[in-house]
Amino acid sequence: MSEKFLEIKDLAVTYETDEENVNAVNSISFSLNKGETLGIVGETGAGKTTTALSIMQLLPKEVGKIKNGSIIFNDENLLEKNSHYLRQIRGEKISMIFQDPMTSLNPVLTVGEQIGEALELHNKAKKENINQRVGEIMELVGIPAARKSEYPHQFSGGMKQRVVIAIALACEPELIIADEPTTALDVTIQAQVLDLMDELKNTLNTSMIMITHDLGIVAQTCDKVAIMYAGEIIESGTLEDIFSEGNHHPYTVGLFNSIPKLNDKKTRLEPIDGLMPDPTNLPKGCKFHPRCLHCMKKCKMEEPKVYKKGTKTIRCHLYDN
Amino acid sequence: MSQPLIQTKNLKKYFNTSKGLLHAVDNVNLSINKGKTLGVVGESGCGKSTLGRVVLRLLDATEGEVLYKGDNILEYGKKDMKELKKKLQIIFQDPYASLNPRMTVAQIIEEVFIVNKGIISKKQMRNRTKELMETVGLANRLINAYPHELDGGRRQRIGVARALALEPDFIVCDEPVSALDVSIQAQILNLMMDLQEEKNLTYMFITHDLSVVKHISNEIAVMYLGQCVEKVSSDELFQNPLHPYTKALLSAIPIPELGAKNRKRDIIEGEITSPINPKPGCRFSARCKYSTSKCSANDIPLKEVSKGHYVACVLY
Amino acid sequence: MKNNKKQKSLVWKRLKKNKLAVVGLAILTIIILTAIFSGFIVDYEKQVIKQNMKIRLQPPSSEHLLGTDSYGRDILSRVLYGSRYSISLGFIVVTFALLIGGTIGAIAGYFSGKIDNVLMRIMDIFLAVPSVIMAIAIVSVLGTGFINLAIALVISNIPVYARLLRSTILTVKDSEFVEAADAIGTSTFRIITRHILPNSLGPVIVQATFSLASAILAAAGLSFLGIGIEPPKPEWGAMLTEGKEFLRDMPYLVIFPGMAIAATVLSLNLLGDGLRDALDPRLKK
Repeated sequence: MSEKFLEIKDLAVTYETDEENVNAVNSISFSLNKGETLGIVGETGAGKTTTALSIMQLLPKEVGKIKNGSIIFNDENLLEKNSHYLRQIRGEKISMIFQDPMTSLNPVLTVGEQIGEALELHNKAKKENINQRVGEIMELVGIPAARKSEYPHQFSGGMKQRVVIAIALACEPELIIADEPTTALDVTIQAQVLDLMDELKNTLNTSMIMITHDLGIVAQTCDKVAIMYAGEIIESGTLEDIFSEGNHHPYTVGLFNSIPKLNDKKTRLEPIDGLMPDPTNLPKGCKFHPRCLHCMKKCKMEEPKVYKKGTKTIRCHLYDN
Repeated sequence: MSQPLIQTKNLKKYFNTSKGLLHAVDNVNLSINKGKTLGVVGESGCGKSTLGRVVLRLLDATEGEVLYKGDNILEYGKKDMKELKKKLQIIFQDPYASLNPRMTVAQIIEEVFIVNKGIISKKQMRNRTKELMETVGLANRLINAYPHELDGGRRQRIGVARALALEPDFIVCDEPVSALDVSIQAQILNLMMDLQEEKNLTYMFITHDLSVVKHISNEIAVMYLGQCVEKVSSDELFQNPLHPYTKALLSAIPIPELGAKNRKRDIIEGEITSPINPKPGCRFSARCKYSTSKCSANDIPLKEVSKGHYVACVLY
Repeated sequence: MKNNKKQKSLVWKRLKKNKLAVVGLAILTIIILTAIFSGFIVDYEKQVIKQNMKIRLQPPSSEHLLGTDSYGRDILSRVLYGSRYSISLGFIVVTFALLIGGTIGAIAGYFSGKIDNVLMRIMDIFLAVPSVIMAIAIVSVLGTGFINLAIALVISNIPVYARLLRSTILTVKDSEFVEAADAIGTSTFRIITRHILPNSLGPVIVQATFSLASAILAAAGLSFLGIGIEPPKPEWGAMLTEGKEFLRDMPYLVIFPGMAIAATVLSLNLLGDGLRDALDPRLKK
């Protein structure tokens, strides 16, 4: 069962505002098989969330524009579909878990009603069965079914995120996009939620895109990894490709060196110098070259091509033949 | 034994809330020697930020003592306190909220000298500001920039420069890097460590991120619901954690390595409650798998189980 | 300084995009210029208050563009000159209400607790009385006239600003930058004036444009009721009163001053709406 069921090709997204044009995503391509988890890693402004919103077609209206590319989901290009069709896909086939559980729930509806709403919208259960199904889903994510008539404010942060997960899972979607699902949570709660998501993914055989800035979370939950920088995927591969020794993009190396490690003795970190480039005014050539330790003449002029080896891709001139 | 620079004795801070008395900081005893860093670790609501603010007298303590070079600063009058504030500084978590959006970089730093008259003359102010900006790695061309024009890392450097302006001995760092991206986080951590070495600064480093705290601290205090549950040198804590909460905290950190999926982890159930009208006994006992009837009988004091290793748990 | 300009020009740029706000600003500019220069354009003694019964109640003509009123005075001159009362009254009311109400609100918001309770309950008492009725009461005690009318309107506007400033300050005061100022030893006064107030001004500016409009309207209303600015001064509201007897036959006696009031109030409201959008970073597209 290793068919590509999501394939993104040359996707480019720009935010056009009064003052400027922000090139948030610049021609990225990746694919996902059934049952796999892809981790998209990057720092603030790398274009992770924009990528996720493009798949869901939830970019801010009038501002966010998809300039190029295709998003093939189950052999259909989502970019060519009308809004009615997309609305059916959302929630039923693809659902999203947002970062902040405090704001992604409606405070005036009980959690049971909110989970039931998802089922109702997509006719996933008969009216009389909805109540029972809601209870089942809640037990699945580890909330006692008796709490379904409570309101979001009666839940703690971790429990709210479980409710959000329950809503996302209600229609048993084929793909879940989780945008920093645990960033707002404490570590011990994060561990609980990640464990839960992992378990659910395995029992339901759902695919997942995990968007995060935390390489630790990636190591713990993902099969494949794509590292984004300034709107591009600069390196991708299997978990082993990225986390084991070998050829890497200089940014990947820098990212790993920036993390304080638990099992090292106290030493100086080796951060990447400089800052993310301004997405309204990206540098010529390789977008990482102003911060790169291995910057060559070529890097300032030409955009690097994608270098492929097995399952691994690197976008860097160092690996030109 | 030299005298610690900062010491707290039975420090307490309670807040009145509509639901009852919130024991934000409850009987905390800590000491930090000059030039060292004490890491204070805990999850949200454990009272670590409140502790930092009480030590600086940004909040008034309910009970207990805060000693600076042996003097109880909680007894200081307004005038002495204003003098002392020059020696005790703070770096805030959110580099977006901690800078006045209507002031330029220069104005923010110079404000320190305007408020504390007599440190340097008006003429020297601009030069001193430029020096400070250089110290923290901010280009001089940014001197008239507004915070909203700068990224998080640069803003945090302004925060550091402001804290350094009065040449303090002691700085409370309240999650100074948790709002920053990893590559920028590393830059700021390095800056803070360099400054410590150069100026012999003493830090109280408050954070929820154990890997960061290990990196920068000499000693670590783990807090849970207002109390310190374990206190030990940084290396020892990671090699030999004793308190069940510390163990759970350590195993909850996702490690960026292959094989992380198969790591055996100690996931604790339940959630942090809040220390409103707490019952006597160990506050962690409700989530602890080793919990026995002994745990909830009496308050459990910190006990030295081996040299320099303090833990508050009936198991030891 | 360069950057400060940048920030201001951004607000200006967003304001310019709002067509209605630009129209409002244009009308308002014309009215303000009229108010400033009307003393030079028309002669108060000869054209504005001098009665000439021979030419009373004339319809618009080339000589009197908007016609004449029941005392034979040129309506155009009176409407132009009347802008002085409305505009100056509006600005005086807003300035003083802002200063007094703002201070009360700032104190209440910053110190909270008992001071807050006492001050805001007093403000609540003021708010409980409808502002026009309050103004009528004050004027009937103090007597009519420009100054007394201004005092009445200032008093009825104070609670509005007190509440507004209190609430914005409550949100700003818990910011970390205020705590940071405390940490370096800044005095309370300096914290309020240097750190809190400049960050609370956005909503105040917007409120000021709206209450400028309502003050002008209230002044006209009170003058219409005969307890504002007394005749023969050509206040717009007073002109309406004079004209209302002839409403059926000579409607232009009422229409022109009425239009002046409407235009002023409308332009201020349009501008206020535009400012609110332009100053709010969340609405940034």
